[in-house]
Amino acid sequence: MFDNEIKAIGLFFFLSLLDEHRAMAAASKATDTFYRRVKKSPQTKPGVTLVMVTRQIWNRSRGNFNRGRPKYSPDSGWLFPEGLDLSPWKEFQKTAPEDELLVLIWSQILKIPDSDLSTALGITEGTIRYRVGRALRKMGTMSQASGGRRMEVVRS
Amino acid sequence: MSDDSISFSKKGDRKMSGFVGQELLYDYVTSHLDPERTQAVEEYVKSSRDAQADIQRINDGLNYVEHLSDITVSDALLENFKTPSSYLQVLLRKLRFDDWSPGIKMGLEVMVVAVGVISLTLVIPWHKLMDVSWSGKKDIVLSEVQKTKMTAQDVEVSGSPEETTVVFPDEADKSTKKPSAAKEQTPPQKPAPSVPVVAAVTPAPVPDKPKATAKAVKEEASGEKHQGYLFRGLIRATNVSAVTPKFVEKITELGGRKAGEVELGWKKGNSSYFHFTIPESKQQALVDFAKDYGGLTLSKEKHDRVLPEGIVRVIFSIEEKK
Repeated sequence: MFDNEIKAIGLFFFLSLLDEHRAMAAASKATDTFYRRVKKSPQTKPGVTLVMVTRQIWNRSRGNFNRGRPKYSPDSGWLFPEGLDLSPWKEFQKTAPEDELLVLIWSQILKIPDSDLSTALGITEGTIRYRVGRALRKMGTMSQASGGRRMEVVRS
Repeated sequence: MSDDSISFSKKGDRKMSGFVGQELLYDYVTSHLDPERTQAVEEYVKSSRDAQADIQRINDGLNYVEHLSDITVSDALLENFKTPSSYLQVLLRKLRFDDWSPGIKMGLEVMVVAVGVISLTLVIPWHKLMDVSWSGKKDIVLSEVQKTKMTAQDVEVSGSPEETTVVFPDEADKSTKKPSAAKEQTPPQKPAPSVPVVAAVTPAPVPDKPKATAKAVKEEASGEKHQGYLFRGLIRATNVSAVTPKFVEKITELGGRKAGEVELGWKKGNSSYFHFTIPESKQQALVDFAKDYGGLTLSKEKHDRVLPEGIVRVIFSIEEKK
């Protein structure tokens, strides 16, 4: 039950911390909290609960580590797609403002709707879209700098 | 553009500024703008190289994060997340054990092992373990006899060698009482004892003791060393309860005296236990008597306690024949 949400929690902490041990610890803690919250208020959308829980655990653990020191091994349990280069993300994770980093993970990687993010974070959808736009520009810049994949201008 | 719309310029057209255009690029790329705004942004992008570069970056970013969203979590890791954390895990997490250097971790482990070994060594009752007999012998020594050497004078005083009383430490009280009891039973109308009789009655076990001790000291001082012996045996007979009184009677008849605290033929489970001293000359008679009840083979064992010459100490038990 809630396997997708738990996987999303794991991915959130892996990408935000880039430290397998810390990510596992934080994800484990967040999973406990997630289950408790879902049990306490089942009417809340799982996406909203997920964002609230991950933000809560992130706020607790962010003071204990410095960004930009990745610690993970290929056999740590996170399965990477073939040919994926993590160096642009490492650079982004190291330099991006916290609000942009988190909102990019939630919105574009975990695919949480803006409305849920707005509810969970207590900010307008416009603010979320603004942050995502800025984060994507930086992400794109780093992706280009590292010789990453380019794509043609396509409107989705 | 409708006629009701507000004109933002003097010429009446609604040309998008660069600031607004830049901020709307993400919404433009993700098609979140209304048609009018979309058209305005398109016109802006055509005229702005920065806007074109930004759209390229946004698309690159979208493409890259799309790949990142393909990262998944293995089932094992998923189960790990779901498993509630134990106290130890929480403690290690709080201590940031994983971040410690390998040297410190190894040092800590060595210390923990050392403390464990030391604690174990202190807790184990070594003295009890050392006392455990691994030979499997079930014999219980009920009493130890002080070694004394009979002299001719002692034999004269106490009568024949067969009547010599061996005083055991645990029987000292009883042996001191016995003479007084014998005195009480002595009929009063008996004539006053002559000198030899007095000599026979007067020596009590108590005054003998210092003599024996003195002799033992004397022997030690002179460097003489005697080896004591003990005879052990076992009789397997049918109907132990019936046979036991016969042996008690026979041993008493042969001049045997119980040694230790228990009486002759002491019941020890299904067997009877005999611990006694007997004149050496009567030992064979006892063995012959035992032949009728399954036979008794006595094995001679060395023992620290030395008995007076002519006296042997025997321990045997009668067990039910299977």
